[in-house]
Amino acid sequence: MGSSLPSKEQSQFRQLVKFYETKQHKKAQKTADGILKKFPNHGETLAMKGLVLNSVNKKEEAYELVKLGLKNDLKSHVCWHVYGLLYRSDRLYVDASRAYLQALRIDPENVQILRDLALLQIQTRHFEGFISTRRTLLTLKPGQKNNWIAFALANHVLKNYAEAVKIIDTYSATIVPGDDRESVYERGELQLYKNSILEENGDHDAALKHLERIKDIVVDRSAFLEAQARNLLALERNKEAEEIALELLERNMENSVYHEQYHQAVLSDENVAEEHQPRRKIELCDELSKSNPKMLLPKRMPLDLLDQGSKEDFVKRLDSYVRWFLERGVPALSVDLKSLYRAEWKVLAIEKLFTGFENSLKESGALPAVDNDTHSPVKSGNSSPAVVFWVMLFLAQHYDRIGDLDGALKYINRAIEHTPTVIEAFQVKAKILKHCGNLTEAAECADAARKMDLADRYLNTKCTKYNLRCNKVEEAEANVALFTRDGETRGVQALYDMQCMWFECEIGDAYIRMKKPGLALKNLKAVERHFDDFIEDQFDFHTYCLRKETMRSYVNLLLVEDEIRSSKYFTRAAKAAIRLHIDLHDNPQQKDGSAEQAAALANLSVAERKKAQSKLRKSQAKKAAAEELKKKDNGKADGKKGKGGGDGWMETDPDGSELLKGIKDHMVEAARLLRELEKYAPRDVETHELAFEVAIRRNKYLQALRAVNRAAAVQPRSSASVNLVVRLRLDVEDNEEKTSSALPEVLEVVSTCGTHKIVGDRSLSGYVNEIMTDSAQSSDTRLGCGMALLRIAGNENERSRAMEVLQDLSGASFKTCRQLASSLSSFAKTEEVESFKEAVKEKYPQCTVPL
Amino acid sequence: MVNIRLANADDLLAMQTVNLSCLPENYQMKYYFYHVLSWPQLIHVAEDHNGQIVGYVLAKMEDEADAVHGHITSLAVLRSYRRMGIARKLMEAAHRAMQETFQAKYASLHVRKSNAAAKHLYVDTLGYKVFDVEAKYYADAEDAFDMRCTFGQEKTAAK
Repeated sequence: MGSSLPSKEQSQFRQLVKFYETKQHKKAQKTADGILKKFPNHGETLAMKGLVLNSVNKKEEAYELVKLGLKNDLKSHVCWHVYGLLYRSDRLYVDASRAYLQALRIDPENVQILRDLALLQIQTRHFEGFISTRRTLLTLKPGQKNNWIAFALANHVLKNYAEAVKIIDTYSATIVPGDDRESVYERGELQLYKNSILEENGDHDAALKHLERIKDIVVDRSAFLEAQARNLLALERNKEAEEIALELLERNMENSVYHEQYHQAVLSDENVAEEHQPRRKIELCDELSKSNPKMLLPKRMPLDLLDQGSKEDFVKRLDSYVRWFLERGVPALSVDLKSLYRAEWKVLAIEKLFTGFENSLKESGALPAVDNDTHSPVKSGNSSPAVVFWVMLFLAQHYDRIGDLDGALKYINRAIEHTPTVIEAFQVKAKILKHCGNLTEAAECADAARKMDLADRYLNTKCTKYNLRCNKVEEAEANVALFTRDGETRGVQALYDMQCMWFECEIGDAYIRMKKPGLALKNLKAVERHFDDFIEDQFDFHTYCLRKETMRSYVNLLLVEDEIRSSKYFTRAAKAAIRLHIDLHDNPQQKDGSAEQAAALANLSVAERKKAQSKLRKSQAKKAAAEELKKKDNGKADGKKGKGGGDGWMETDPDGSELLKGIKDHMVEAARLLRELEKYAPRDVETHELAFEVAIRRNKYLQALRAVNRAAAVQPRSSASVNLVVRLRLDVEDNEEKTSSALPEVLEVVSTCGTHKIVGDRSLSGYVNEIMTDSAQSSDTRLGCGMALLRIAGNENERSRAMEVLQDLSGASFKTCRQLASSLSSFAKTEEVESFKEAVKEKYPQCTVPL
Repeated sequence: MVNIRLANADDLLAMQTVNLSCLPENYQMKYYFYHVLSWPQLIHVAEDHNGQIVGYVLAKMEDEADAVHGHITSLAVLRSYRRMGIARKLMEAAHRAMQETFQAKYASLHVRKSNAAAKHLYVDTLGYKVFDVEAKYYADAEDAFDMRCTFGQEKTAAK
């Protein structure tokens, strides 16, 4: 380092590196300037100065200096290393790797650079590179524990299981008891890691034998027993598995996996025939319940297991189960029983039981007496008045769940009248009102609940969400701010700092409805940025975990990170953003927020409007390109607010106008987000719906075709697929304007692999009608088919037939109706949209939001 | 139906959501990562029949002090799932792992002076005792009770 300098400057250079490493940036910069005064062209010093400036957020200068330094000393590994570090700090991992590799060409055994390279390789999951770097490091420094474990990891992730195990064994053999390199905990963790590799390799026998050997050193008893149970079950050593599963259950009776393993072991051992299995499982639950009467799962699981043949037993068990909740006043009863609503007969049995309770309470002031059997902890006699309330609350939730909103309102109002002080009742009422489409009163009700206990953030959260649902953004922000005190930072920046994504998604949706695209985009982008941070968050742990030896958890984290963007927040925000970009592409006048422009456009004919819109788009793109250039000069600011640092990401460009202006082409941006969705949410039919919308606007017919085929593969008989098939046929295949401009090769593929493959010889309406008849059960599919028929309809007669389908809203939730209204307005005639909305208003007379 | 089990990295985002909707003290994702990668045995979750997380306990070990002990970083159960005994079961699971895996002598935690319901759970159900009061511990200047539960002496929950 600094080798080309005289000795005085050499030692100054070493000082400089030290200052940088200890984050004494001012001193570092001063030292660098000192050297540069005498040797202004010294490459390594220039590069180091750049790195220092990078740390104080002078990005542009930093890149210039580092590049200059490199130019002056291309043969210095320091310069290349620094170049890599600079890229790495901007999360440009591939560029950073390339720079490190250059550095290593000059100094192949530089341990520091090798370590930095290995970090990037595991971060980017470049496993082939990772294993080779780790091999070099182990060869260079075999005395270090980290190098052994990391090399084992490299083999593990490449599925070289035997090799990974061997490396751990070789390393472990060097550890003698009392060795201070490893604590008892760490030794156990490493062995459990090895054991998980054996299991992953399917070598259950070896895994079990290994467990036997490490019995005395493993301090994580749960993990030990769980591994035993899994491996024993895999080998069908059922008797032993049963014993272990029972031991696990004694430790935690409320773990459903332990119950399932216990059942599997016993049932396989006894060779119980399929049809007798539920009965046997119930017996096992009953046995456990007898010795653990306070535990819930052994009592609750049979309710799921019983089939219609055992209706009487079901009712008896349900009766005794729910009494504990009612007597104790546990509001969670409704959510606890939710899974039972999958079976129609159970729904009816629940209703009958609770209305029976209601009548009995009315007549005698008590719940009906129960047969004298072991399941009933409650004796008959007088029930407390509170029980009446909890029965009514339950019935309100029950009717809400089955879509009888009038019934639900009746019960919730009576419950509140009976006991106006229980907060849960107001929460339930708010939810029912939401389902009625009465979002205004729902928000008022949630606010009433909030005011009953201002210290409870959960109530605040619900209230904020309900406010946002009816676009009361100011109220929502004021409310939520009551719980966002983080030193100086307040409001949306504090929520951003804490990665509060439910809020950002909800407020983003509200701004979309309010036609404030900048603010909407700002919040949706915030969610995307959190995921970038989650990915970056791993970085420090690549080193940390090798030291801690919590390798099982670490490998699990790597897998989770690989899929983290499939989380609902990411996909929700991406979908909303894509829809927003589509809307901005279709209606570019929104972007400048100019009402006059919009009004002017409205007065033009369709053709004229299209022309004007396209002109507007072009001028906006030009402006955006200029903005982009300007932005590059300002450099990137870290989104989080540091101590004493400037504004946070939400505080700079708070209304998102810069963000919005920076987008040159909304379709390109939408396509970028779509690639993420196609990777992380390929099973979500909405992904392909959006892919179609974007493709058709970009005149990419093959992509449109692919979207239709994928939607049909995911959900072949859904509203989404049917409508996409119809649109591909009408908008592309039968659209002369489009087909005449497309390449013949494209047309060829579209015609051979297009909708004819799905529709067959039937007419398009024949295809839709068939699906509609088939899926009489689902109102969503039926209505979707109605919409498809309206798209196809060639004459008034056909149109009115399609409208008939659309006006039958039985079974349709308010949410579905709202979505349909929005889809219809994109293509149907105004009077058709209006008459659909009329039908919705008739079904949901309380609805307070514009459809 | 509620299932109580050890958490894994896959649960952390959902835990963060529960935390943000229930409690005023919040943490960035990296802090959750740090917990699961340092003391994977101590984090437990409660999930509903669809695998939705409805409650969690986040805990850590502290060994620089006088005796090795555990510390409850955060405990939350969605309001709609309260009074079912979930919080108690989560805490018991964390306590067990603290002793079994890390040989903890006691567990500590902070609770707002005004939070009577939580204090009731800690004192009457789990056997915590007030060890100290930390003035203005919280961001809004409320005091905290510094509570401790010495293992081996806690009340055994009535079976």
